[in-house]
Amino acid sequence: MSEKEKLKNMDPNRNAHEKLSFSGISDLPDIVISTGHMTWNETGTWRYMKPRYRNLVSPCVVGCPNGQDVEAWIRLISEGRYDEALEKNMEESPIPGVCGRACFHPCEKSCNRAQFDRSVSINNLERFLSDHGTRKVPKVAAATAKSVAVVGSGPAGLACAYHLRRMGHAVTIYEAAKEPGGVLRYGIPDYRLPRDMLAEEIDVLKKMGVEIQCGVRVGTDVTWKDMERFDRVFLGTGVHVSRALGISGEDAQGVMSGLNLLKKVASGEDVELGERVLVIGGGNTAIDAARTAMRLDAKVTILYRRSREEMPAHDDEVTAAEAEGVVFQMLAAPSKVVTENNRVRALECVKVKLGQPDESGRRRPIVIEGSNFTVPCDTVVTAVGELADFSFLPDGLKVENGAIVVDDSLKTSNERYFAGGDVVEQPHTIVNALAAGKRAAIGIDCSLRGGSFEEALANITLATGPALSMRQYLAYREHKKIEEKVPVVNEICEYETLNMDYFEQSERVRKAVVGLTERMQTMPASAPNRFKEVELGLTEEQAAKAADRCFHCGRCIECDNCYIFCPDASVMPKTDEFGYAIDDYHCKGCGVCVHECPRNAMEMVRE
Amino acid sequence: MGNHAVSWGVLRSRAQVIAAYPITPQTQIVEELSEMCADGDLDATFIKVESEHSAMACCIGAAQAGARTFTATSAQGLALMHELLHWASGARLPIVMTDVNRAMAPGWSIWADQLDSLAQRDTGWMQMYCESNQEVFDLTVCSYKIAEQLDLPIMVVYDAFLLSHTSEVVDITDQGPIDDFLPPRQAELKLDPGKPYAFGSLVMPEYYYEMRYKLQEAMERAGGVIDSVLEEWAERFGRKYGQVEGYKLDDADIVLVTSGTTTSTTKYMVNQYRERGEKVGILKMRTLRPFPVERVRKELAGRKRVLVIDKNMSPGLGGVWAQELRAATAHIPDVPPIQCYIAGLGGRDIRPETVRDVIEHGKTQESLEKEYHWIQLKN
Amino acid sequence: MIEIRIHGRGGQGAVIASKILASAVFSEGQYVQSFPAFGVERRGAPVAAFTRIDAAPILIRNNIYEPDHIMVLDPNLLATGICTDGLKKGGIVLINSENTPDFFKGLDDFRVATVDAGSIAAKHRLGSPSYPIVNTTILGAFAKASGIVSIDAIISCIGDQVPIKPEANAESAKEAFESVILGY
Repeated sequence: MSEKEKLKNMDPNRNAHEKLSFSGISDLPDIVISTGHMTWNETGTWRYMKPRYRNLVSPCVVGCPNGQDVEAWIRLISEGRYDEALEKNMEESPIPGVCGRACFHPCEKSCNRAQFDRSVSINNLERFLSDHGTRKVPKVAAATAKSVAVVGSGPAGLACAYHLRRMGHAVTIYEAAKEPGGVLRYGIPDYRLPRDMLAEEIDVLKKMGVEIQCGVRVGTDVTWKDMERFDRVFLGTGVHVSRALGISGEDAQGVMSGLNLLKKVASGEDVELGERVLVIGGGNTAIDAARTAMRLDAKVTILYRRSREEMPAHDDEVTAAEAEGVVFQMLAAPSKVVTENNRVRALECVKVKLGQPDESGRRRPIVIEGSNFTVPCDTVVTAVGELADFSFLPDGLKVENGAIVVDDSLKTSNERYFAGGDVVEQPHTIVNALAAGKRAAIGIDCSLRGGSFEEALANITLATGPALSMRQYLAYREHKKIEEKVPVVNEICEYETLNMDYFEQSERVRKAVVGLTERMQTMPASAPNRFKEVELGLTEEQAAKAADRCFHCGRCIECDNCYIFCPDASVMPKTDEFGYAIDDYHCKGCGVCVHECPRNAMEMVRE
Repeated sequence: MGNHAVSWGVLRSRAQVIAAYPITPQTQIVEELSEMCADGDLDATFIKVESEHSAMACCIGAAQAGARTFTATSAQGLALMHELLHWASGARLPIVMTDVNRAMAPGWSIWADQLDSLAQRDTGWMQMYCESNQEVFDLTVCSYKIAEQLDLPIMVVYDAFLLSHTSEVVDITDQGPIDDFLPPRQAELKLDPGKPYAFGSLVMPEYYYEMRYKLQEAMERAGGVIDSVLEEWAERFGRKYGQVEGYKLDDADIVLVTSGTTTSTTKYMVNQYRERGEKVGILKMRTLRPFPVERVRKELAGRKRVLVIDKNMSPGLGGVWAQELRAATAHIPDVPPIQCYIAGLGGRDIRPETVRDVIEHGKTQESLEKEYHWIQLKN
Repeated sequence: MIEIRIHGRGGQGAVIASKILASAVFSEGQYVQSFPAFGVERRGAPVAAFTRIDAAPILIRNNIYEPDHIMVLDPNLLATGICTDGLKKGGIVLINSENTPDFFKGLDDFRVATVDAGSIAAKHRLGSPSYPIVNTTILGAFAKASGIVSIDAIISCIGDQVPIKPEANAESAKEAFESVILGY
């Protein structure tokens, strides 16, 4: 049979490894036609480097002091899987609803998108998942016969209790106030953080079996000796003493601290402020106090000794306060409280100018001599910082520079005591306290089990740290290896490594707020809902849009680019599991897939 | 390489509008030109287009507006331009184009043969074929002068890879002397909003015939213009070219007729025959259109054998160069039968041995037994 | 006429090497021709590039079938037999390898030389550490191994024609010139 006839009878699906050898015109076909497929041509032998899929750590994950796997739950939101998104978030934190509202979201600062147009609205998305996901009570491991007391039910205490309970330890929270939540309950006004929402999140801890004893002050109502029945004690007592102004007349009637004002209002007590309120300070407490005073029918002025730029309060809060009518007197410092019959009448102030930056990086205020002026007022609210109270602590705990001394695992000088949150560290933020609660829980668990904290750290630190992964710790403590869909390299995915050809600029999703008119109408003290929440959550449509803006830095999301661009059909989607399979026999290592990966979830490696 | 020689030729000619679409093996020409434009070395508008058809359309528009224009293409790209090639010549626009000879598909091929350009024989374009990269540079510059004197478009043609991708020594003439040789284009009638002519509109039968006469008349003048431009080039720069060129031709009994790079390899073989005392020579064809009828009649008369190596094949008749030569020399006494050898299609290497086989076979052919011969065909 | 063939893989720079070699030889007064194997080049695929050298203008324009010398940028290609195909007896086989010439068997008809161009190029940071670009480096070794061209001409042409890191390329070629191991 001639080759030409052979060809006619040939299966076009044959592997044409045995090439037809046409001797010449007599047996060549008349048309150019394939004689089989080309899989015999194992171009994989040309390869000197090989592509591989590997995930990196998205910068938001490390930008969050608490190590939230932000990218993971944003992806779940964009897939409409809100319950799973919430569950993912709660692997690292018990209070997504709180954080979605009141966290100062440093994650958004580290968001790679910020270098492209504007960062992804992570904070709003966190609130969205807490509003739209169904809260599931996390799994509690088998009981360990160990017990831990947590003193204080602020974010650090809640986080510590939550994580320890998940590990199977018995946990009792002691809270001096009537209700749990600490600063979340008494330090952040209702219009920013509704109390029922907070209660709902704390309820999850109760359902997990965390015992919460309120109205019990440790050291007074129960003794430190009583604490000895616990294997470990965590101190998350926060900061409650307002820093004094250090000027004359400070003790007069009508001078109160911002913390005190907020606490009283939160406790439902009546507060008499008078008509004109002067708030001193530029931090969040000052803003919260000012906006609260507005809701008590006062005319409020904030006095701050630097300029707006230096204000430590969050910009959004300052803007909202301005919109609501709070007056700002910048570059002025109090010099004397003017009193009459020991009652505040006015505040004498002095103008300042800004000099060279001090160690905090902010410009140092310098008093302008002779620039004194007087502001009449009925109440002076001081909010120039808070200090911890160490007087109630058990004997022998080392305290230095206004903080309890702790090691890396947050263990104090007494190995049975751990401490974290504002009582230990700056900055005083919810997310830092959450991170401390988590770290302490890990430190306590290691010490209870006799494990090495350092070794644990090496296994669960996210990229450059210091954020830790509780998800990884829970697997680590049970000697389990997490089966990741894609192998993870514990490094941050940098902006420069993304392929910007695949992203378009888009507008950042803006969160909705209750309109100012409506707010002003409900603000008078007489209005029943004057502390109504000001910020509104995202709609589903907005959330989808916000989630779609995520680059998914360093994480494969099955976008198919590698599959589409592979010139040798060597990248194929897996049919039964996540991701793609690379055909080693034919991948010639050209690297197009890696080059065209929008999110740096692939790399070339030497074989 | 040859492709760079073109880019430099276009640079030295100060082209003003360049429009092109990439195709192997031409791409490097316009790639380098786009860099020259981007770097400011060449003050030209570089237009990226979506097809070769559009590339030629751009050149037509720009040339109609009085600009000096350039484009380059190969094979299927040239075929896609076909309609507009007629337009360019009919509109009498002196466009210069490079065609890097590449075989037509299918079977898909990126390698050299001449059918793509030869198939455009009747479009009214002049065509010149090159043997070396020096010729590529020199003839690109000369083409502008030739085309603009006649208001006819011209194609500079050379073999894929054998020249396009081969690096060899080329003398790039300085800009000053070339500016003296090639002044800026002066279009007498052009697109001009101040004088709003329309071009290329309907012509009734009463004049179309005469318009074609004028096109043909320009082609008849073209031979003389080409000669004079090439003579001027030789005077100025010392490199001499003609519409046909002889190599050891004067006393040759056996004349091989070649074009493009086949000539070089044939020269190599002819030298070996000459060493053995055999009178073998070469007639190298440069222009397809205008066809140098008188010249070939003169050169082929009185020879014993005329063996044409055609790196092309017109299905149904055979090699194109051979057909053209037969037509030109028909009924001319003393011209021996013109033997046609099809060789080198689709990049098949024409080796010295191939030429030897042509010569040895040709020696045996007294009369025209066959219209064409296949050489080294796999049976 | 001397015909040289360079074997490598797409992306290794065999074509550039053949051009630089041609330029260097031209600068010393010879006629040259340099061209790639005419084909569809893909990264990683075996490729070849050619250089022809002659005292007179070069007429021949077809591919090189029987080279006088070869250079092999990727020693793995030797096993395929394509490198030595048609190589004239006594021709130089210059291999980029950390091994000495006697390591390579079955090359008895030829003069074998080796140079560890990969390590030298990596040291001079040419290409990436996992995949050094060796094309300029091996030319330094070829100058020594063949004597066809001077190392000075090679270095000068590298300086003129290599757009990125010309000094490092030149240094690397020089080091290869000094460290090439001649098995003949």
